[in-house]
Amino acid sequence: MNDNVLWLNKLVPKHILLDDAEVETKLKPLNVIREQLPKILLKDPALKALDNEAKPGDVVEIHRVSESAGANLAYRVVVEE
Amino acid sequence: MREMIPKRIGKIDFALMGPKEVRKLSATKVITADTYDDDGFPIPMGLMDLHMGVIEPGLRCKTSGRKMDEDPGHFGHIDLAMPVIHAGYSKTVKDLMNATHPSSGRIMLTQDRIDHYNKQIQALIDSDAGTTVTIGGITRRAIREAAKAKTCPHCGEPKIKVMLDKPTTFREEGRKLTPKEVRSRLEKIPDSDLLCLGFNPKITRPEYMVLTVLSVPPVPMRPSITLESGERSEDDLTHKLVDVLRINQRLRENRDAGAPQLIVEDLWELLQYHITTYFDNQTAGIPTARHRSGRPLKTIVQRLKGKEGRFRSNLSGKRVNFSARTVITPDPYLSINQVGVPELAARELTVPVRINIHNLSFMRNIIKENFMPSDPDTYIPGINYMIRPDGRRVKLTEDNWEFNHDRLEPGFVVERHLMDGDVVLFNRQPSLHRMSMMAHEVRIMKGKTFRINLCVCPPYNADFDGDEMNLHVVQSEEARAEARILMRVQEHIRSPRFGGVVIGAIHDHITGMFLLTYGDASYDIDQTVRILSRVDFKGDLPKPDYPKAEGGPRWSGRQIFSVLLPDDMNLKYNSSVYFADRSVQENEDLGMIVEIVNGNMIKGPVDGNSISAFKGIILEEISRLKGANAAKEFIDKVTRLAVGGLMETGCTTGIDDADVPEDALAQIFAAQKKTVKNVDKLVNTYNAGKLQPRPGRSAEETLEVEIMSLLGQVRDTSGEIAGWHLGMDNFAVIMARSGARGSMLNLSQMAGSIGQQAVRGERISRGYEQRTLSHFNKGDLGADAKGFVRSSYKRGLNPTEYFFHSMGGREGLVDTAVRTSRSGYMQRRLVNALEDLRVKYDGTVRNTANTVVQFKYGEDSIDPTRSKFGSAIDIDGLIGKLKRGEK
Repeated sequence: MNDNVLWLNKLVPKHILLDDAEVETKLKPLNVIREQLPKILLKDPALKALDNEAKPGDVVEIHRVSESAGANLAYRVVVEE
Repeated sequence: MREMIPKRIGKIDFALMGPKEVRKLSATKVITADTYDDDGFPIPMGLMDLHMGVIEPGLRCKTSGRKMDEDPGHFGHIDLAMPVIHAGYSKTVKDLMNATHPSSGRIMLTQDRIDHYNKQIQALIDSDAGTTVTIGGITRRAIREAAKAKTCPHCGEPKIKVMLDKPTTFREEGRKLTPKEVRSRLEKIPDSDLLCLGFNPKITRPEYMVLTVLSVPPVPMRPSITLESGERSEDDLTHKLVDVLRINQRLRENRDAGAPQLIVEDLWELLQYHITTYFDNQTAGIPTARHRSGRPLKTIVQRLKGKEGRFRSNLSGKRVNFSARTVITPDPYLSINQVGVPELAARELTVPVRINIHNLSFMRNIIKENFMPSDPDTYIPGINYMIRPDGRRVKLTEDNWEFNHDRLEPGFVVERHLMDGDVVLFNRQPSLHRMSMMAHEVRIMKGKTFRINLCVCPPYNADFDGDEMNLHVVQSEEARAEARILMRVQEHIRSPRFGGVVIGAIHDHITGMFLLTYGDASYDIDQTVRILSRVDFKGDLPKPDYPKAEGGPRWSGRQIFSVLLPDDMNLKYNSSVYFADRSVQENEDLGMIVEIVNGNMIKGPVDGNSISAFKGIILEEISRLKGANAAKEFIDKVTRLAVGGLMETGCTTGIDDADVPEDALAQIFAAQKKTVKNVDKLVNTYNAGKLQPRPGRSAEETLEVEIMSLLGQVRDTSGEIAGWHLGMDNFAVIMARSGARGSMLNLSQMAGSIGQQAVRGERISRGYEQRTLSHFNKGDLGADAKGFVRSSYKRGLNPTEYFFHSMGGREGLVDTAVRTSRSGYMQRRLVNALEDLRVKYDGTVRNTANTVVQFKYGEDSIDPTRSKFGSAIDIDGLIGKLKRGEK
């Protein structure tokens, strides 16, 4: 589902939609609850590339390339506005 | 100390005050546009009525009965003859009028839509999650939707759009609406429609935005001042209220007497003007109200707004006691974590000390010493105040000191003068980073200036051309501990910005260390001992490098310096004097590569790349591996050693350091002449239209680029020619090459040629029509006509060159001015956005709401202060260690 052309550009970090079980396993070790996550707008182009599957309250995992750490994972919660 | 919390604020509602509330709050009605009578007594129902508080000693407030300074005052009110728009809400009023219909007063939405919006808002209010912003968003959408309606869905009548002429005039199809009409329209809006318009009808009604009664602030908020001449001068707010009252009175009289409509309207507008400026004297679209002298009046908004306003100046801005400010001067014999404090300041600044059995006799002794000094020349701290266990403060004086000396006992607190070793915070503005405020240890000194070690100048960005710095004495035990652990100078040698050192040798210290260690500089036993005595060196002298020299054994400068190095230090790096244009081997042979083996410096000089702030590699190594205190110790000793080395060699520079021989000059001139000729040739080709444009550039641009490169080359060549004749026997060169001060470019500009002047990165082209100055022909594109300066600073510039140079110099000055102001504002915004973020114990960066900003601090969890220029491990250093077989 994630082989959209958008990810072909190296400046666009890859976004992956997590299901509830994954959210649980990934956020637990970070000591973070959903409400404390940074937000991402539902209308964000990166979410559109996920075939519009994301809905408010979902969590996406973002594979960012960090200048300081190389690969880096970030999590954002989808919000309507 | 800990006080009970009488009430806890759970929630604050902000709302508009209606006329009823204003009257309820009012202590008196104000009708007289006057303040005091002839005897100087406040006129009843005047602006200084005693019901609104007192500002004169002796009188009592008629509302609360309190005296001056006990009474914060009480509000009064003015009944306005005609209603007036509150300029701050005119936009809201316009939106409301456009969203509702004038005849029915209903919001122009179908009941369905009203319910829809009401439900959303109510849900937010009930869930307690709604903020002003989120609810505001919904009401804004509701209003926008209602304003789009052409006809009212409730009464079916068409709607006419209301326009706002800023700040306070409303028009409907060109016809002015009086505030009275506006108010009656707003009154018509039913309570049931108010929720989706953003009002809570239980608290606030929209017609409150049209004033019928004006609240008068208490007298203590606008006190009058008595000048030396005995004349009374009123506060700006009082002045404005006088205007309001006066016009209000005239308006009422004229209206009641049935004056022509025109006159009443004029007065009404004038009242509107005065009330608008009473709130905000910088309202766009109306002239500012001025004092008789022409000074604009400072009314309510002006009191609150901006840098000098109540918020930024009084509420966020803090002024403190126990602080001092004076000029700073250097003292290389202080440690970097010390600060020299003048006696005068030390006797004003105090530290509270609780008396116990251990310090009782000390305190008694210093009291005695202060009033009966046994040695007037030494500084002994004294005591300004004693605080008895019952909380009474007693000032120690010539008369009572003996009595208080005797009754001092454990449980008392004394305010002791500053003494050596006290911890203070030292700061230089602008405080741009955390190293702008560090904790120092006090050293009491004679004189009237603060003394600091020169190595702490870089983090403070201080110099001694008249800079002043602030000193704060920390008062509590907790603060002292915190300052000691977190803020001491040595804890800040490494910068969190880039993982290098920010405290280190500058200027003369670098020159001094360089002269001490460059080449085969060596010192006889007298000199060696003299230099080493400056760093309190104890122990045997190292084995001399030149044991059989003429006149006794001699020690190399490197040996002397090595005394300061840790035994396990192994380093190899390029020094500042490294020739970038020569091979590594050549540099190696010339001794430009530093090599340290087991704490002994074998090769290379100690210069900028070794010990300077920002670049010093040895310093970086010591501070990273041996810790803050070792680095502090090292810097202190380098400072002293540098002074010692400089004292043996001496260093001086002058204009003759820029002297170059005649034939070198001739060479420079020849090179210049050749280039100028080449430039002319280029210009001719261009004029003939034969210049081949470079890809992506026009012919003109190509010409400019080529000329710039030619002229750049000739400046470099003349620099090189001059450089050949300026050797390491030249102190200016030594300073430039060792990284102490100045650059080789500066020197070649003094000795050789200044070169092309530029404005906006291009050759100078502005001035007259088609030429820069009237000294040249129109259309002259040659080197001289466009700002090339052949002369050197030493030989002096000819008039046209001087002019071009000034043009270039002006740009530099303007740039720095613009840059500082812009970066300052940027810094302010950045700090305001980030100030409450912090790294939590789990390594995440979060704000006060506990939401995550970064999942890992810096995404790599590396503390840059402990990194080597940003990377967590020093790979080169580790490889070197392994090669040597250490573990």
